[in-house]
Amino acid sequence: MKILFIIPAYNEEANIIKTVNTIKSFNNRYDVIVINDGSEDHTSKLLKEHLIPHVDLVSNLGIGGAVQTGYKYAVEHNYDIAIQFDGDGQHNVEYVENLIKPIINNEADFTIGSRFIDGSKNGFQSSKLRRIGIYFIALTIRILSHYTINDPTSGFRAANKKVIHFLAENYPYEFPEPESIMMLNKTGFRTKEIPVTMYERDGGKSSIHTWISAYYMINVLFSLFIVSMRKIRDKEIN
Amino acid sequence: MPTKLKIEISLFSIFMISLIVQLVRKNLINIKYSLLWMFAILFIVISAIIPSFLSGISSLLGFELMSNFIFTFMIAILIFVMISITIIVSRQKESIRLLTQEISLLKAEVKRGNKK
Repeated sequence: MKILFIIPAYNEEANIIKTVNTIKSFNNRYDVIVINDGSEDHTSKLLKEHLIPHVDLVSNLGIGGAVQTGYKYAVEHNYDIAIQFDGDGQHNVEYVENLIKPIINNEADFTIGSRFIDGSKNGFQSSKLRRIGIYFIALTIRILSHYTINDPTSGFRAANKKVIHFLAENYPYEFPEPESIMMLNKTGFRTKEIPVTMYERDGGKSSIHTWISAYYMINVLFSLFIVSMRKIRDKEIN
Repeated sequence: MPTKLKIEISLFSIFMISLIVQLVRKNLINIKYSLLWMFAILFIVISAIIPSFLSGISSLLGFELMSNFIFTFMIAILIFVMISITIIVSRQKESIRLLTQEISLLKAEVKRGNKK
């Protein structure tokens, strides 16, 4: 079974090498692909020097466009499972086996590492204000799609082959984490949350740095509303 | 409508038409998008030549002053133009994203091939 870690990186020179080495020393059979999203620091140079497989995006696309590039890479190289993993040292590789177990056992098509369900209460859970924001996003998803998700903004996810093909074609790029969950549920994929604990980020900035602003929240909620009405272009489902 | 005004509008229309034609010739706008502006100018010319055309529509729609009708009509047209421009920009953003992804993946493959 071919397993790929998709690691989006934007100005992550402080953490990226450590992140990749942690994965490689945890299990040498895991492949990684770092998607360097047009970083302005030495991320690209470091990746080259350390011979880490990577794709340098020729211009900055944002987290959604970067992760989608990873899914396209996974399609081209025929991977069975793709794991989204942050480059900033926030995610803990020890939980990967729990994350992909339901996929290997064919109980789920897509799993989400969640900080807010039983068995995951100990680790870093973000600031209070962000948790309120996350709660509102979760509530909106529940109202719009009747699907309960506790950690819709988690970027620690795993996808099986069918979902890899789907996301390579249809990845949302404005607010990708919550939107993709809605899209996958709507399309009929089985999603499942797995308890994980996360670290506080070591360096770099969250891709969601405007969290506190009401403007961001309105945007997310609005886009979820739109996704719930949108037609899915399912070229690749079958 | 006074003759002076008619001449002014005609001159303005001729200027606008030659501007659009120049832009299309220099490939600065696509023919497809220039048509929209051509129609807008055509409308202005018709209104200048036959003023009753405008006042007819205006009173038909219940406007008391023709100028109010013209302003409302123009704003409506501009909103329509802005929406179509937003559509074009969004589409372009989408294709730029696709191009960036494909070319970046291709470049990575080529580099890997060279190393082997």
